[in-house]
Amino acid sequence: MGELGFFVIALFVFAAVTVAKGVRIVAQGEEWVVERLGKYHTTLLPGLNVIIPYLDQVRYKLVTKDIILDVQEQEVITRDNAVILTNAIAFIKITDPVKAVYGVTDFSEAIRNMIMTTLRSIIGEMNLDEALSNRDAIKARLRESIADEAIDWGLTVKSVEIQDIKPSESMQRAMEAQASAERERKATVTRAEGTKQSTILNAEAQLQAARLQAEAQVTLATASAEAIKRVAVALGSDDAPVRYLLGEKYIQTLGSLATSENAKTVVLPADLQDALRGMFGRPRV
Amino acid sequence: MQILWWHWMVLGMGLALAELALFSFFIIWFAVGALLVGVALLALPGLSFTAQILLWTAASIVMTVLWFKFFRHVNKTRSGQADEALGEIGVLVSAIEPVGSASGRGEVRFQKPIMGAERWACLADEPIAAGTRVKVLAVDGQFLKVGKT
Repeated sequence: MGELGFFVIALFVFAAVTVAKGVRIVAQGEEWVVERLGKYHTTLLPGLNVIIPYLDQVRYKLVTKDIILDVQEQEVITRDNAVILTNAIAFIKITDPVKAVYGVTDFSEAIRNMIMTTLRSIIGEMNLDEALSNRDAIKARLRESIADEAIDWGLTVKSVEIQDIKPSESMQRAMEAQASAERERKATVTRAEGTKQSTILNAEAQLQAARLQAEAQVTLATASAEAIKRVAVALGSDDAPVRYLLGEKYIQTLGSLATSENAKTVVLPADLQDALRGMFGRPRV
Repeated sequence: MQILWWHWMVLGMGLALAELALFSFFIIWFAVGALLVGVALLALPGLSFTAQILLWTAASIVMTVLWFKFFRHVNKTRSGQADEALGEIGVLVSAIEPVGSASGRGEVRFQKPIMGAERWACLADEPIAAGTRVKVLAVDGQFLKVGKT
């Protein structure tokens, strides 16, 4: 009974280990690659699977959910020799587990390096301003470029998102300086424009004023001429009233001169000669 | 040594615990079989040891076979698996030509995005005209292999 007991226990352990190794439960979202004597044999799908423990071996356990790959930040030089920093995130999915394990040693490392080098070459063909503003174009080209390699590795690249594109430290300083200089220039130009505009307006105003003044003078002269003409017409050929009027004005003026406060001079009549001539009885010329 | 009914019960419980430890959904049937033999011994105490072993073996094997044959539940979802896009129906927007000067690839469009895109470059074993409804047969990297539905 004792020997038999040992045998039963041994048999039990053997059976338990065999069953445990032979019956494999695969979780949803995973697929396991099984090799029989070193060669690929089958892929285990989620649920209960039975393999032969002494021939078969589960070599790889693959996650078939979408894999999120973080592509680290790297320095990229654009076509116009500007240095920019960029990083990306990729969503990939294993669509062929066999190719993913036998086609490449480490598919996630491979695809990550692929994305990095492709990103460098794509941005290297662009100018700085293009690269900073054309994320969608970069994304589309990235997906196309990776497609050829991904097919051998059993991967499907769902999307590659550029997370960040930013100019490097020194580049950023230069860009800021450029932007502020540009603003400065605009301000100066605006100021000059204002000055020019105001000068022009002033000149125009002066011109307008001069024109109006000249017109006023002409109108005044015309009016004077008209008035004189009318007086002349009213007088006719008789000049006695004119003489009288003039004489009266003359005497009034003399009077006002004499009454002025600083009148310390003797004013001679302006027509002294005429007066003398009248005295000597000479005829007028 | 006389085997009593509760010996079988204890064996059954031990096997059930082993199932919990190993989690294979295989040992559990032997555990249930052992519990059944325990119940049978309660009802018929005169059962011989050979008969007991036979009963246990038979019950376990029948239950295991039944489980694997009839009661294995179908796949409820293929979400997260490598083949989750297979069988999706789309419409060809550009025809698949026989391979000649051009690549011969066409383009297929789906009502809802498949694997992050509505449009996919596709290949097929036969020329298919544009506007045909097609089914996804395989995913090859960034290309879908399609066939007529």
